[in-house]
Amino acid sequence: MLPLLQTDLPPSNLPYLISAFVVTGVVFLGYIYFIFRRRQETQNEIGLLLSATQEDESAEREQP
Amino acid sequence: MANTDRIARRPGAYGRTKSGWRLTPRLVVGVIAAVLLAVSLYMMFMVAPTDANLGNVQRVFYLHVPIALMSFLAFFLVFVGSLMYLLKRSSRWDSLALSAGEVGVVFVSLALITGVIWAKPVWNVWWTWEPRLTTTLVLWLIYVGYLMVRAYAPNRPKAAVYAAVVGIIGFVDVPIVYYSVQWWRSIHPEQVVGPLAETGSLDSTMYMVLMVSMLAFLFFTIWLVLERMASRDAEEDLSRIRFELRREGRYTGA
Repeated sequence: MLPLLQTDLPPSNLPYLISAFVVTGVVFLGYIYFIFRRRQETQNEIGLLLSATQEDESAEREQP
Repeated sequence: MANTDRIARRPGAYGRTKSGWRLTPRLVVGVIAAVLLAVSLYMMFMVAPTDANLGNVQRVFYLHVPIALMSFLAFFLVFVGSLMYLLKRSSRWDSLALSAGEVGVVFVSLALITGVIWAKPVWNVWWTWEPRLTTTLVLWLIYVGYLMVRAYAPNRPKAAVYAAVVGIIGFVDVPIVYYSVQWWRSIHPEQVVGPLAETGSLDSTMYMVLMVSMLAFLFFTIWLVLERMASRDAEEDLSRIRFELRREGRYTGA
Protein backbone atom coordinates (compact mmCIF):
# COMPACT_ATOMS: atom_id res chain seq x y z
CA MET A 1 0.00 0.00 0.00
CA LEU A 2 1.15 3.59 -0.61
CA PRO A 3 2.91 5.14 2.42
CA LEU A 4 0.40 8.00 2.38
CA LEU A 5 -2.40 5.54 3.13
CA GLN A 6 -0.47 3.43 5.67
CA THR A 7 -1.43 5.35 8.77
CA ASP A 8 -3.59 4.42 11.71
CA LEU A 9 -3.92 8.08 12.67
CA PRO A 10 -7.20 9.83 11.91
CA PRO A 11 -7.06 11.69 8.59
CA SER A 12 -7.91 14.98 10.32
CA ASN A 13 -4.41 16.29 9.52
CA LEU A 14 -4.84 15.90 5.77
CA PRO A 15 -6.48 19.33 5.21
CA TYR A 16 -3.38 20.97 6.76
CA LEU A 17 -1.07 18.89 4.57
CA ILE A 18 -3.06 19.69 1.43
CA SER A 19 -3.29 23.40 2.28
CA ALA A 20 0.48 23.66 2.78
CA PHE A 21 1.20 22.12 -0.65
CA VAL A 22 -1.55 24.06 -2.43
CA VAL A 23 -0.50 27.42 -0.96
CA THR A 24 3.15 26.75 -1.86
CA GLY A 25 2.23 25.77 -5.42
CA VAL A 26 -0.01 28.79 -5.92
CA VAL A 27 2.60 31.24 -4.55
CA PHE A 28 5.40 29.81 -6.71
CA LEU A 29 3.27 29.70 -9.87
CA GLY A 30 2.04 33.24 -9.16
CA TYR A 31 5.60 34.50 -8.76
CA ILE A 32 6.77 32.77 -11.95
CA TYR A 33 3.79 34.28 -13.82
CA PHE A 34 4.67 37.72 -12.40
CA ILE A 35 8.30 37.44 -13.58
CA PHE A 36 7.39 36.28 -17.10
CA ARG A 37 4.51 38.74 -17.61
CA ARG A 38 6.63 41.66 -16.45
CA ARG A 39 9.49 40.65 -18.74
CA GLN A 40 7.10 40.21 -21.67
CA GLU A 41 5.68 43.70 -21.12
CA THR A 42 9.19 45.19 -20.92
CA GLN A 43 10.30 43.39 -24.07
CA ASN A 44 7.16 44.48 -25.93
CA GLU A 45 7.82 48.10 -25.01
CA ILE A 46 11.47 47.81 -26.08
CA GLY A 47 10.35 46.28 -29.38
CA LEU A 48 7.87 49.13 -29.95
CA LEU A 49 10.43 51.83 -29.13
CA LEU A 50 13.11 50.24 -31.33
CA SER A 51 10.80 49.75 -34.31
CA ALA A 52 9.44 53.32 -33.97
CA THR A 53 13.04 54.60 -33.88
CA GLN A 54 13.99 52.58 -36.95
CA GLU A 55 10.93 53.87 -38.83
CA ASP A 56 11.86 57.46 -37.93
CA GLU A 57 15.41 56.91 -39.11
CA SER A 58 14.39 55.35 -42.42
CA ALA A 59 11.89 58.21 -42.99
CA GLU A 60 14.67 60.73 -42.31
CA ARG A 61 16.94 58.91 -44.78
CA GLU A 62 14.30 58.96 -47.52
CA GLN A 63 13.81 62.73 -47.23
CA PRO A 64 15.94 64.62 -49.81
CA MET B 1 21.41 56.01 -31.50
CA ALA B 2 24.49 53.92 -30.81
CA ASN B 3 23.18 52.50 -27.54
CA THR B 4 19.71 51.55 -28.77
CA ASP B 5 21.26 49.95 -31.85
CA ARG B 6 23.64 47.97 -29.68
CA ILE B 7 20.79 46.71 -27.50
CA ALA B 8 18.65 45.81 -30.53
CA ARG B 9 21.50 43.93 -32.20
CA ARG B 10 22.50 41.92 -29.16
CA PRO B 11 22.11 38.26 -30.21
CA GLY B 12 18.69 36.96 -29.21
CA ALA B 13 18.08 40.04 -27.09
CA TYR B 14 14.42 40.62 -27.89
CA GLY B 15 11.84 38.51 -29.63
CA ARG B 16 12.08 34.76 -29.91
CA THR B 17 14.69 33.56 -32.38
CA LYS B 18 13.44 32.04 -35.64
CA SER B 19 15.02 28.71 -34.78
CA GLY B 20 12.79 28.47 -31.66
CA TRP B 21 14.16 27.76 -28.17
CA ARG B 22 17.82 28.49 -27.54
CA LEU B 23 19.66 26.24 -25.11
CA THR B 24 20.67 28.70 -22.39
CA PRO B 25 21.99 27.96 -18.88
CA ARG B 26 18.65 29.28 -17.56
CA LEU B 27 16.71 26.75 -19.59
CA VAL B 28 18.99 23.87 -18.53
CA VAL B 29 18.71 24.80 -14.83
CA GLY B 30 14.93 25.20 -15.23
CA VAL B 31 14.51 21.76 -16.81
CA ILE B 32 16.67 20.12 -14.10
CA ALA B 33 14.66 21.92 -11.40
CA ALA B 34 11.33 20.81 -12.92
CA VAL B 35 12.44 17.16 -13.16
CA LEU B 36 13.86 17.15 -9.62
CA LEU B 37 10.74 18.83 -8.20
CA ALA B 38 8.53 16.20 -9.85
CA VAL B 39 10.74 13.37 -8.46
CA SER B 40 10.81 15.04 -5.06
CA LEU B 41 7.02 15.45 -4.97
CA TYR B 42 6.61 11.76 -5.83
CA MET B 43 9.05 10.76 -3.07
CA MET B 44 7.37 12.99 -0.47
CA PHE B 45 4.07 11.15 -0.90
CA MET B 46 4.99 7.71 -2.21
CA VAL B 47 8.39 6.89 -0.68
CA ALA B 48 8.65 8.74 2.63
CA PRO B 49 7.17 6.75 5.53
CA THR B 50 4.37 8.22 7.61
CA ASP B 51 5.60 9.68 10.87
CA ALA B 52 4.44 7.56 13.83
CA ASN B 53 3.69 10.55 16.05
CA LEU B 54 2.65 13.34 13.73
CA GLY B 55 0.95 11.39 10.96
CA ASN B 56 0.68 12.62 7.39
CA VAL B 57 1.04 16.30 8.20
CA GLN B 58 4.72 15.63 8.89
CA ARG B 59 5.20 15.53 5.09
CA VAL B 60 5.07 19.35 5.20
CA PHE B 61 8.59 18.96 6.62
CA TYR B 62 9.95 18.05 3.12
CA LEU B 63 8.62 21.36 1.87
CA HIS B 64 9.11 23.61 4.89
CA VAL B 65 12.77 22.81 5.66
CA PRO B 66 14.16 23.17 2.08
CA ILE B 67 12.14 26.35 1.52
CA ALA B 68 13.48 27.88 4.76
CA LEU B 69 17.07 26.90 3.93
CA MET B 70 16.79 28.23 0.37
CA SER B 71 15.65 31.57 1.75
CA PHE B 72 18.97 31.63 3.67
CA LEU B 73 20.81 30.89 0.43
CA ALA B 74 18.94 33.70 -1.35
CA PHE B 75 19.78 36.16 1.42
CA PHE B 76 23.42 35.05 1.27
CA LEU B 77 23.34 35.94 -2.44
CA VAL B 78 21.87 39.33 -1.49
CA PHE B 79 24.77 39.78 0.93
CA VAL B 80 27.39 38.86 -1.71
CA GLY B 81 25.69 40.93 -4.43
CA SER B 82 25.38 43.95 -2.12
CA LEU B 83 28.98 43.76 -0.94
CA MET B 84 30.30 43.38 -4.48
CA TYR B 85 28.10 46.25 -5.71
CA LEU B 86 29.52 48.59 -3.07
CA LEU B 87 33.06 47.52 -4.05
CA LYS B 88 32.72 47.42 -7.86
CA ARG B 89 29.59 49.53 -8.58
CA SER B 90 28.61 47.09 -11.32
CA SER B 91 24.89 46.80 -12.14
CA ARG B 92 25.28 42.99 -12.51
CA TRP B 93 25.94 42.65 -8.77
CA ASP B 94 23.03 44.94 -7.99
CA SER B 95 20.83 42.84 -10.27
CA LEU B 96 21.92 39.69 -8.42
CA ALA B 97 21.16 41.30 -5.04
CA LEU B 98 17.73 42.54 -6.12
CA SER B 99 16.73 39.25 -7.75
CA ALA B 100 17.92 37.13 -4.84
CA GLY B 101 16.21 39.52 -2.41
CA GLU B 102 12.88 39.15 -4.15
CA VAL B 103 13.21 35.36 -4.40
CA GLY B 104 14.30 35.23 -0.75
CA VAL B 105 11.20 37.14 0.37
CA VAL B 106 8.98 34.68 -1.54
CA PHE B 107 10.78 31.74 0.11
CA VAL B 108 10.80 33.11 3.64
CA SER B 109 7.10 34.07 3.31
CA LEU B 110 6.36 30.46 2.34
CA ALA B 111 8.53 29.15 5.18
CA LEU B 112 6.39 31.18 7.58
CA ILE B 113 3.11 30.12 5.94
CA THR B 114 3.96 26.39 5.81
CA GLY B 115 5.29 26.64 9.38
CA VAL B 116 2.03 28.17 10.58
CA ILE B 117 0.00 25.47 8.80
CA TRP B 118 2.18 22.76 10.34
CA ALA B 119 2.10 24.34 13.81
CA LYS B 120 -1.68 24.22 14.17
CA PRO B 121 -2.13 20.41 14.20
CA VAL B 122 1.20 19.78 15.97
CA TRP B 123 1.37 22.56 18.61
CA ASN B 124 -2.34 23.34 18.59
CA VAL B 125 -1.66 27.02 17.86
CA TRP B 126 -1.17 28.85 14.58
CA TRP B 127 1.53 31.10 15.97
CA THR B 128 3.61 31.39 19.11
CA TRP B 129 6.27 33.98 19.95
CA GLU B 130 9.07 31.46 20.34
CA PRO B 131 12.66 32.28 19.19
CA ARG B 132 12.74 30.53 15.78
CA LEU B 133 9.39 31.92 14.65
CA THR B 134 10.08 35.40 15.98
CA THR B 135 13.56 35.70 14.42
CA THR B 136 12.17 34.39 11.11
CA LEU B 137 9.43 37.03 11.20
CA VAL B 138 12.13 39.66 11.84
CA LEU B 139 14.05 38.27 8.84
CA TRP B 140 10.93 38.62 6.69
CA LEU B 141 10.43 42.22 7.87
CA ILE B 142 14.09 43.10 7.14
CA TYR B 143 13.93 41.88 3.54
CA VAL B 144 10.47 43.33 2.88
CA GLY B 145 12.09 46.56 4.08
CA TYR B 146 14.98 45.88 1.67
CA LEU B 147 12.54 45.74 -1.28
CA MET B 148 10.72 48.86 -0.02
CA VAL B 149 14.00 50.80 0.17
CA ARG B 150 14.52 49.94 -3.51
CA ALA B 151 10.99 50.94 -4.44
CA TYR B 152 10.94 54.28 -2.63
CA ALA B 153 14.50 55.58 -3.11
CA PRO B 154 14.65 58.77 -5.23
CA ASN B 155 16.64 57.19 -8.07
CA ARG B 156 18.21 53.87 -9.14
CA PRO B 157 21.84 54.48 -8.07
CA LYS B 158 20.71 55.66 -4.63
CA ALA B 159 18.26 52.73 -4.37
CA ALA B 160 21.10 50.32 -5.14
CA VAL B 161 23.42 51.84 -2.50
CA TYR B 162 20.77 52.10 0.25
CA ALA B 163 19.54 48.57 -0.48
CA ALA B 164 23.11 47.21 -0.48
CA VAL B 165 23.63 48.58 3.03
CA VAL B 166 20.35 47.00 4.22
CA GLY B 167 21.24 43.74 2.41
CA ILE B 168 24.60 43.50 4.20
CA ILE B 169 23.36 44.44 7.67
CA GLY B 170 20.16 42.39 7.30
CA PHE B 171 22.12 39.20 6.69
CA VAL B 172 23.18 39.27 10.36
CA ASP B 173 19.73 37.85 11.20
CA VAL B 174 20.25 34.67 9.13
CA PRO B 175 22.69 32.96 11.56
CA ILE B 176 20.54 34.20 14.44
CA VAL B 177 17.53 32.38 12.92
CA TYR B 178 19.60 29.21 12.38
CA TYR B 179 21.12 29.13 15.87
CA SER B 180 18.01 30.42 17.70
CA VAL B 181 16.91 26.90 18.69
CA GLN B 182 20.30 26.35 20.36
CA TRP B 183 20.69 29.75 21.98
CA TRP B 184 17.22 30.08 23.50
CA ARG B 185 14.66 27.72 24.95
CA SER B 186 12.46 26.79 22.02
CA ILE B 187 9.64 24.42 21.16
CA HIS B 188 10.77 24.35 17.52
CA PRO B 189 12.57 21.11 16.54
CA GLU B 190 16.36 21.30 16.38
CA GLN B 191 18.34 21.45 13.14
CA VAL B 192 18.23 18.42 10.85
CA VAL B 193 20.55 19.93 8.22
CA GLY B 194 23.73 22.00 8.58
CA PRO B 195 26.59 22.29 11.07
CA LEU B 196 24.43 21.74 14.17
CA ALA B 197 22.43 18.81 12.83
CA GLU B 198 22.65 15.60 14.83
CA THR B 199 23.52 12.61 12.67
CA GLY B 200 20.98 9.83 12.82
CA SER B 201 18.25 12.09 14.19
CA LEU B 202 16.12 11.28 11.16
CA ASP B 203 14.99 7.98 9.62
CA SER B 204 17.26 7.12 6.65
CA THR B 205 14.40 7.13 4.09
CA MET B 206 13.11 10.43 5.44
CA TYR B 207 16.64 11.85 5.23
CA MET B 208 17.00 10.70 1.61
CA VAL B 209 13.64 12.29 0.65
CA LEU B 210 14.69 15.49 2.39
CA MET B 211 18.01 15.58 0.50
CA VAL B 212 16.27 15.09 -2.87
CA SER B 213 13.85 17.86 -1.97
CA MET B 214 16.77 20.11 -0.95
CA LEU B 215 18.50 19.48 -4.29
CA ALA B 216 15.28 20.18 -6.20
CA PHE B 217 14.70 23.45 -4.35
CA LEU B 218 18.36 24.40 -4.80
CA PHE B 219 18.01 24.21 -8.61
CA PHE B 220 14.60 25.89 -8.42
CA THR B 221 16.01 28.79 -6.39
CA ILE B 222 18.93 29.27 -8.80
CA TRP B 223 16.51 29.17 -11.74
CA LEU B 224 14.21 31.78 -10.18
CA VAL B 225 17.16 34.09 -9.46
CA LEU B 226 18.46 33.70 -13.04
CA GLU B 227 14.99 34.39 -14.50
CA ARG B 228 14.53 37.45 -12.31
CA MET B 229 17.99 38.69 -13.32
CA ALA B 230 17.02 38.34 -16.99
CA SER B 231 13.90 40.44 -16.31
CA ARG B 232 16.02 43.02 -14.54
CA ASP B 233 18.37 43.15 -17.56
CA ALA B 234 15.38 43.86 -19.81
CA GLU B 235 14.23 46.63 -17.44
CA GLU B 236 17.74 48.15 -17.49
CA ASP B 237 17.76 48.06 -21.31
CA LEU B 238 14.36 49.76 -21.44
CA SER B 239 15.61 52.52 -19.11
CA ARG B 240 18.70 53.00 -21.28
CA ILE B 241 16.66 53.20 -24.50
CA ARG B 242 14.23 55.70 -22.94
CA PHE B 243 17.17 57.79 -21.71
CA GLU B 244 18.77 57.85 -25.16
CA LEU B 245 15.50 58.74 -26.90
CA ARG B 246 14.64 61.40 -24.31
CA ARG B 247 18.07 62.96 -24.81
CA GLU B 248 17.37 63.14 -28.54
CA GLY B 249 13.90 64.60 -27.89
CA ARG B 250 12.14 61.57 -29.38
CA TYR B 251 10.55 60.26 -26.20
CA THR B 252 8.31 62.17 -23.83
CA GLY B 253 6.92 59.30 -21.69
CA ALA B 254 7.51 58.81 -17.96
